[in-house]
Amino acid sequence: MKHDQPEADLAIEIHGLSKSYGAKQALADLSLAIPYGGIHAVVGRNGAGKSTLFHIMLGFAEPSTGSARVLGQPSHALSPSVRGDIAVVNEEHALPPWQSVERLCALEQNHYRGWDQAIYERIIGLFDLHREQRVHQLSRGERAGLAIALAMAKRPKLLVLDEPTLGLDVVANQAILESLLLASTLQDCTLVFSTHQMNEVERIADNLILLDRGRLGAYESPDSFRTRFGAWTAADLPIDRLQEIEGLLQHRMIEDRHQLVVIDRGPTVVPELESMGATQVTEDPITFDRAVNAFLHRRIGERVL
Amino acid sequence: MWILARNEWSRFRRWTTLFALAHLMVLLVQEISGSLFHPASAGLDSGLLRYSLAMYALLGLTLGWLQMRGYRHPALWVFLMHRPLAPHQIFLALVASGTLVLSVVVALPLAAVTFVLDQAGTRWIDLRHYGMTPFAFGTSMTGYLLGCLFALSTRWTALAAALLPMFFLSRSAVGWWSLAPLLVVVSWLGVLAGAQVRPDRQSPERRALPLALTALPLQYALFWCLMFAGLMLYTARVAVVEAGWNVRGFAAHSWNDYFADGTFDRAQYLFDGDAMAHGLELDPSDRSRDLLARIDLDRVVELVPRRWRAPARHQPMFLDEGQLLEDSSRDRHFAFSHDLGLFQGWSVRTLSAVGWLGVSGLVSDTELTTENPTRFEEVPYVFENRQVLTGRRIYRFDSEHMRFDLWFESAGDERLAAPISEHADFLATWTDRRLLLFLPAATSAHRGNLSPFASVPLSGQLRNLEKILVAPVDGGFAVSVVYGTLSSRDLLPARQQVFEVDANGRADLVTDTPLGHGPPAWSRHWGFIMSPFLRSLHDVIWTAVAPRRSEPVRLGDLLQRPPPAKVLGLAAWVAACSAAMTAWLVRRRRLRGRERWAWVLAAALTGLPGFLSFLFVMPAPDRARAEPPPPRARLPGAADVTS
Amino acid sequence: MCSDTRDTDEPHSSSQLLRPGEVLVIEITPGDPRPIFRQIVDGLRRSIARGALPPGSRLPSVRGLALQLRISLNTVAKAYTQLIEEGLIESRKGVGVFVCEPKQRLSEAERLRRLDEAIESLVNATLSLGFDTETIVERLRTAHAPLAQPTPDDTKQS
Repeated sequence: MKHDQPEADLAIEIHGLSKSYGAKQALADLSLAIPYGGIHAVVGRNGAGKSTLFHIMLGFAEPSTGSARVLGQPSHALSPSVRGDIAVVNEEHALPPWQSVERLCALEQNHYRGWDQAIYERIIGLFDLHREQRVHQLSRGERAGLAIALAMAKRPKLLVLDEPTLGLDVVANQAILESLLLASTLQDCTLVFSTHQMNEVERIADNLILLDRGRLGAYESPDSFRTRFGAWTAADLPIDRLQEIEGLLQHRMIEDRHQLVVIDRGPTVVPELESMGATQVTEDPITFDRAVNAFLHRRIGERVL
Repeated sequence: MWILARNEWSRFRRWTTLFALAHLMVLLVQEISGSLFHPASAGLDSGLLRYSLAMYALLGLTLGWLQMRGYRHPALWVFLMHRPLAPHQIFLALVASGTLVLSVVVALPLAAVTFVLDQAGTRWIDLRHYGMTPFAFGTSMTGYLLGCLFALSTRWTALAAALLPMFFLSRSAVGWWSLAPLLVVVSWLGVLAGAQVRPDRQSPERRALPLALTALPLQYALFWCLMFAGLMLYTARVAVVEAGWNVRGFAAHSWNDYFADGTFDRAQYLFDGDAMAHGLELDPSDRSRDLLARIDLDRVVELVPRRWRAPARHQPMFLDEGQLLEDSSRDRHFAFSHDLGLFQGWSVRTLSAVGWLGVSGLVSDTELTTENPTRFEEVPYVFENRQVLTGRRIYRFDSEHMRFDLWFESAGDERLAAPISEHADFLATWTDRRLLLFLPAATSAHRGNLSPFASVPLSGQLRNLEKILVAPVDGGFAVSVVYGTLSSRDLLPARQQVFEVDANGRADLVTDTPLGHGPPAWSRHWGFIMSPFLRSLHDVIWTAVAPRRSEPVRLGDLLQRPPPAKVLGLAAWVAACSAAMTAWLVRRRRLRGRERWAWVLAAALTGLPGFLSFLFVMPAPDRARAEPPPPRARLPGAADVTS
Repeated sequence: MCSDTRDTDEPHSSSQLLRPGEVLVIEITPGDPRPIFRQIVDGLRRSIARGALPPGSRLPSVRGLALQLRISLNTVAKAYTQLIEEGLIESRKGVGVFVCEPKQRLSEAERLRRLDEAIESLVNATLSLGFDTETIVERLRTAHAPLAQPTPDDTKQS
C-alpha cells in the first residue's frame, strides 16, 4: 500500500474550499494543511460544515470551488489503495443494519491488508457483543464500539472520525479515547475527528481546527488557542462604547457587573477599559470551553439580571 | 470483492429461498390447472405470460430497489464506497449477488419445471418453451437494474433514461433474436446503474459513455414530450374552431366535418357509403357521377385492413396469438408446436394428450411412432377457430371431422395478408398485391381451392393501405381503396382509387385522386422541426425493432421524400437556436473545452431536445452565495489564524 | 500495537509505571482553568517537593505519561520541557527522564522577582475578598509549610 508521498509532506491539503447546498453555504474559502501525525480535532457548532468537510475530503461530495488532497491524492479521485489507508468512522457510527457483527468483521478483514485482529478483539471486548448479532439489534454504544473497532483494526494512516464518542458510556468513552491516543502515538496514525466534547479536545488533541460558519476560525493547539483569550470583570463600563473595545467577543451584564471575554489582547485591555471609566477591573480564569464558546458565539450587550 | 457479493447474498438468502419456493408452487399450480405453456383458452394465449413477465420484472425491480436503497443514507454510502476497491468492482459485487438471487428465484424453478415437463410430461415442449427461462431471467434482470437505477439516481432523468429500454423490450423480434434486444437493454441499464455507483453521486455525470447513454433516451423522451405538446397545440386550435362553429350554428359537428373534402383525413374519418361517395365526388367526370348514381350507398361494406401479425417460427411465447385451436364439443385444445409443425391436442378435463393434428388431419398416436401427419410448412395463424392461414394458403378447419380443407391458395410468391371475410354479397381477402373477391354462391358448394370472381390490383403498398370499400353494383362491384400518408409525414402518396368490377369480374379503374393533407404543414412536420435527427432516428429505429409493424418506415422513404424547403429551413433555425443557447449556457458550467464543444454539437444535431437535455443533465452549479462573514468587529490577528 | 502490553520501542510502558510505591498522582480536572500542561507541571512539582518522587527516581516516558493520563503527547512533552528548564527533572538520552538533585538554577534576584510577581497576583486576587493580612498570612503558612522543607543544602546555597 505504498503511495507517493506528497511534496509538502501533508496528510491533508485543502485549498480555497467552498461548498454550497442551494443558497446555504456550508464551507467558505477554507484552506487547511494538516501534517502527518498528531490528533486534529474539528470543532464547530452544528451545521458549521464538519461533515461536509469530511465528505469532500473523502471524495463523497464535490466542492463548489477549491480543491482538496488527501494522502497526496486529489480527494475526488482517490485510488483504491489510498482508500485502504484511510479509515472512517461515520456520523452516528452508521453501519449497514442488516449485517451481522461477524460478517462485517469478515468483510473488512478481507478488504484491508493491514487488518489487526488483536486490536479489533481488544476494542470489541469492551462491549458486550455477540458475533451473530445484527447491527440493528445493537445499542447505540455497542454500535459505536463496533464501528470504532472496525476502523482501528484497519491500522490506517489516516483515521477520520465524525463524533466518535457520541452516545458512549463513561467506560467506553475512556477506552476509545485511549485507543485513539494509542493509534496516534504508537502507529503514527494521523487522526482527524470532530466532536462537541471540549474536554476531549483539550486533553488529546494536538491541534484544534475551529470551524465557524464554514470558515476556518482557528488552527492551533488547544493550549495556545486558550491563551489568546482573557476574561475580565469590571464595573461602571459605558455600554455605548463597548463596540470600541478591540477584540471583544462576549459581553454581558449581571446586575451592575460587566463580564467580558476578549481575544488577543492580554493585559493591554485593562488600561483601555479604565480609560473608558471602568473600575474594579479584575481578570477571571478562563477555561477552554468558555474560550471556544466565546469564539463561536459572539454576543455583546446581553443583560442577564 | 467476492466477499462483498457473498455478504450481499447472505443479506437476501432467506428471502431468496422463500421466493424460489413460492415461484415453484405457482408454476406447479399453473401446470396442474393446465395453463402453463399451453394456455387454457385462445383469449389467454399470451395474456398470462405477459402477466408473469411483468411479475418477474417487478420482482427484479423490488430487489434492485431494496438492495440499493439500503445504502442510500450518506453514511452507509460512505461505508459501501470507502474501501480499497474500485467503484466498478463494488457495483459488480452488488450486481453479482442480485444476479444470483434472481437466477435462483426466477430462472431455476422455471428451467426445472420446463425440464421435468419435457422429460416426464405428456405434452410436447418446444425449444421456445426453454427459451422462456432466459427471457424471464433477462426481463427480471432488466427490472433489477432499473430498480438499482431508481434507488441510486439522484435525478429524475433516470426515469426518462429508462424509457428507451422499455421501448426496445416491447418490440417483437423473433426466435432467439428476441434475446438480443433484451441483452442490449440489460447492458444499457447496466452502464447507467453502474455509473451511479461512485463516491460522489450528487455531482453531474462527466464520463462520456454514461452521459451519452443517459442523454440519448432523455432527448428521446423530451422529443416525445415536444411531440405531445405539438399535438395539444393543434388540438386546441381545432377545438377553438369547432367551438366557434357550434356557437354559430348551434349544431354539434363531428370531427370529420373539420377537414375539407379531398384530404386524407376526411377520407379517413368518413365511413362506409360516405367514404365511397367521397372518392367518387372528387372526380367530376361523368363516369364517376354515373357510378355514384348506381351504387346503393347503404350496402357499402368497409374492409379495414386487420393488422394481424403473421406468427414467426420460435417467436417468444408472449407474442402468441392464433396458435390455439379449440374443439369445444369434445373439450379438446390443440396448441401449435413450432418445433414439429403440428398441433398437439390435449383434453381440457383430464389434461391427457389426445394426439396430433397436421394438414392431413388428426393422428391419435401421441408418440408419433406409427403414423406421421403432414406438417405445416409455416407457422399458421388461427382465425376465429375456423380459418387457418399460412403465408400462401387458407384452410377451413372442420372441427367435426378434425381436418383442414384447403380453401384458397395464392399463386407464385404472392403472400396472403388477411383471412377471408364473409359478407352478404361477397367474400374477400387480399394479398400483398391484389384484392380478391369471391361470390358466396360459388363458395358454399365448393370444396378445395376457390377461384376468385374478381381481383382488384392494390397498386399502392400494403403498409399504407388504409381501408377498402366494396359495394355490389349491377352484378359486379364498386371498389374504393384509400391509401394513407404513412407516418403523417407524407412519406407515401395518399390517394383514393375507385374501381368498377363488371359482371364478368373485370376490374376497371374509374378514378385515382391524390388526397391532400388535413392538418397544416407545421403540425405534420412538428417533430421534424423540433429535431430532424430524432424524428428520422425514431422512424428508422421503429422500423428496425418492429420489422412486421403495419406501417414500417424505411430509410429510403425518408430520403426520397424530404420535407418541404420551408420546414427544412425552420428545422435548421431551431437547431441553430438550440446550439446557440447551449453554447451560451455551457460557459456557466464547469466543463472542459472539449466537453463544451461536444454539447454544442449535440444540441445542433438533436435540436431542441438536445438543448433541453443539457439543462436536465447538467444542472446549474451551486451558486455560492457570498454570505457575509461572521461578525468579527475588529479582531487583531484574525487574518493569520491559519499560520 | 494498540495494546499497551505489547512490545514497543519504549523501555517504559504505562503498566510498569504503576508499580506500588511509585504512584504518580497527577489529576487532570476538566474545567480547571489551568491548562492541562500547567496541571502536570504543578502536579509533578508538588510530588517532587513532597518527596513522593525523590531525586534520581525515574519518571514515565512522554508516551507513557500521555497514555496514562489519556492526554496528548505534545502536552506532556511541553510540561517536561518546562520542568527541565526549571531544573527539576532531566532527560538522559536513551535512558529516560529522572528527577534531578535539588539545586537552584535561578539567580537570587530572579527568585525574588518571581516571588514578588506571585505575591502581587495573590494580593490582586485576594484584595477584594476582604480578609485582613493576618488571616491571609496564616492561611498561606498552612498551605506552604508542608511543601517547603528547606534542606541544609538549600540554606547553604541561599
